[in-house]
Amino acid sequence: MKKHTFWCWIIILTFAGIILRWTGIGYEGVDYQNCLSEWYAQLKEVGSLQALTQFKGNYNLPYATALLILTYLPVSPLAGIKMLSIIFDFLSAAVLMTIVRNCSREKSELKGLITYGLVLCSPISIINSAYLAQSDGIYAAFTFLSFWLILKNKPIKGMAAFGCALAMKLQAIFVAPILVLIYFCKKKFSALHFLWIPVTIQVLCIPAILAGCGWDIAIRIYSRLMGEYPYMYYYYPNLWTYFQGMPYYAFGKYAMMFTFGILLLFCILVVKSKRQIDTCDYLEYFCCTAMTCAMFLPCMHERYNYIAEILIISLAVVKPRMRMPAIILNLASLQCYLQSFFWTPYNYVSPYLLAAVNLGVYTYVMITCIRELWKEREDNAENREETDYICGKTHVVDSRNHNNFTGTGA
Amino acid sequence: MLLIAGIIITLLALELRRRVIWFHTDDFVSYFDQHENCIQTPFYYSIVKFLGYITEIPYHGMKWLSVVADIAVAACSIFILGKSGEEMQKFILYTACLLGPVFFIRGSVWAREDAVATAFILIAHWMMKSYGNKKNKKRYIWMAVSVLLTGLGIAFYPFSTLLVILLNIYGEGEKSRVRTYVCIISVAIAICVNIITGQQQGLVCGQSIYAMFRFLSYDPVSGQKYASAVVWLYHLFLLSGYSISLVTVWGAYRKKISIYVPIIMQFAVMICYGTALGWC
Repeated sequence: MKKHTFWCWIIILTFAGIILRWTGIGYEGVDYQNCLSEWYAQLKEVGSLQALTQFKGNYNLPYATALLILTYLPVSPLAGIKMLSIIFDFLSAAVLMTIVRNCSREKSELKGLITYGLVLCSPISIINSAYLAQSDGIYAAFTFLSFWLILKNKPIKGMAAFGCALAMKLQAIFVAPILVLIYFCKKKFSALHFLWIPVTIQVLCIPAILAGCGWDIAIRIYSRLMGEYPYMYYYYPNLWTYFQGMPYYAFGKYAMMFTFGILLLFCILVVKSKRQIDTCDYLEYFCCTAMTCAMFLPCMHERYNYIAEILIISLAVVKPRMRMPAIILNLASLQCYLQSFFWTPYNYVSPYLLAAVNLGVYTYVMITCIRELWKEREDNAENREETDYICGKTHVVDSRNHNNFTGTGA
Repeated sequence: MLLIAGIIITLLALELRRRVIWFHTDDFVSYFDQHENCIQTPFYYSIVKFLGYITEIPYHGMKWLSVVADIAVAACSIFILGKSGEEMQKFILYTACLLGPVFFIRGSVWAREDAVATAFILIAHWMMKSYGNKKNKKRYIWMAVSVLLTGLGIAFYPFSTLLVILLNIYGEGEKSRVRTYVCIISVAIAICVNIITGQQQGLVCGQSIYAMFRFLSYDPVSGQKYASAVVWLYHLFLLSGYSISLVTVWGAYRKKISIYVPIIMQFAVMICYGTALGWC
């Protein structure tokens, strides 16, 4: 594709993204009316950095700092809060476009363009930032950036980006499994690089600390947030939709440890497969691990699978078998958004059905991924057996590249 | 690496089960109060009485016994089914048996006896498979111990006879004639054990034997006869849920059935358990 054609399309798609988001800029969702506008008003009333010490919202202080900065700008609170999220939507789309361009050897620019367009014009993304004024786009953009930077062997910047994501919202922790997996698979950076995460969070909390909040303000807020919704099911249609009556105090930890168990199994399988993992594979594993967290952790809101819903779109561009799951997952999430935030009697779909759809998509995505890993593992085992079996001349058949290497062995 | 991961999984499983020791379901009293037409056997109540000497509350004793049994079942699964060179598959099987929701809920949450009986039977099966085939004099001792353990498992939870029959139909190594004798003698031992323990509890012979089959006709909680065929099927599914889940996991491990089958079965059994416990 010619360069000027590529950039023309980027501009067209960017404008399309802006227009689609502009349609919802005036809409006031429940969260804005009940929470965001009050927090904004409270920050504006105090007017100075001191406002951060009195911030009562359930977001971390870097986001509160961003809201405080918005109060100084000559924009309406609604538009300002939404524009903050919308900017990061474009960043998400750009990062995923770059990742997809590096995934595929053929038609990489076209695939990148398609990814940019689909992610930017995704209904989930538009509703989340432009209609509901949520900040999921902000932390998602930082997580994608973190993922990309670490894959490009820039661990410090990558961990700093992850720290930014975590500072914005605790749900960014869903990215931790893939970062740990990359660490064990690539072994291209030290475990000490993970320490950049708390450093970044502390740096972003500096305005709040200067305002008079304690040094441990980030930890205190996370501790409060983690126990805020003690329910197994909290409106996201996952496994716990069917067990809404399960008491959280008894089974919450089981759900977390069960999730940890599945992630541990998955990571071990990836590492033991000794597969040559490329960017496309990492993208798929990222999607799998993020979905695992959303499907099995307790207290999941409707928006908490945002990362996976956006990722699966970009994955669908490079892997044809992900197209149907991407469509189904996004439709199910769209329905969930519509009936949670724009409820009308005629569009109601049972959460049990939505949960069944989500679990079905998740099961399909995981099992197809694991089957590929398993096949790779068995192929590698056969190669090793063949090498061991033939004595004298070492004759290794590389089944992947169909090359024969012959040499004299011991 | 897999050994370390296995230890982590075991510790995780123990911690999860420890956390729910004090949790009790609404119907837990029915499994310990020896109400009229209860489905528990005299041998079960003997064990409960014995557990009362170890833990203050027998309910906790049964839960802790289930914790040990869960680990035994997971370990026996890999010893019986596992082949050398399949370390990764064995690790996955072990994790599935320990962290599977059905296995966790049935024993540690609900304090039911499926895991304990299954552990008895699997240990017996493993003994028979590992030592019963060897051509030496000690072979008969191992076989006798194996048959005794199987009998105790059936005496404790008669529904586990189904598992014994399945293992002996599809088991490997022994001749089919030997397996048939194992089944018959185990059932005979189970009946004798229940008669003996029943007599200690003041029950006549017939009552002790009948207690082993009451699960086929009476609701375990209310002690009433099943009102309809649908209710009967539902309760049988509840009783067999643990065994079916375990067998489907084994089947998927051996690649006899698709991986989707144990996943769907775990989900279906969990829904039934959730309905019975008022969570769904």
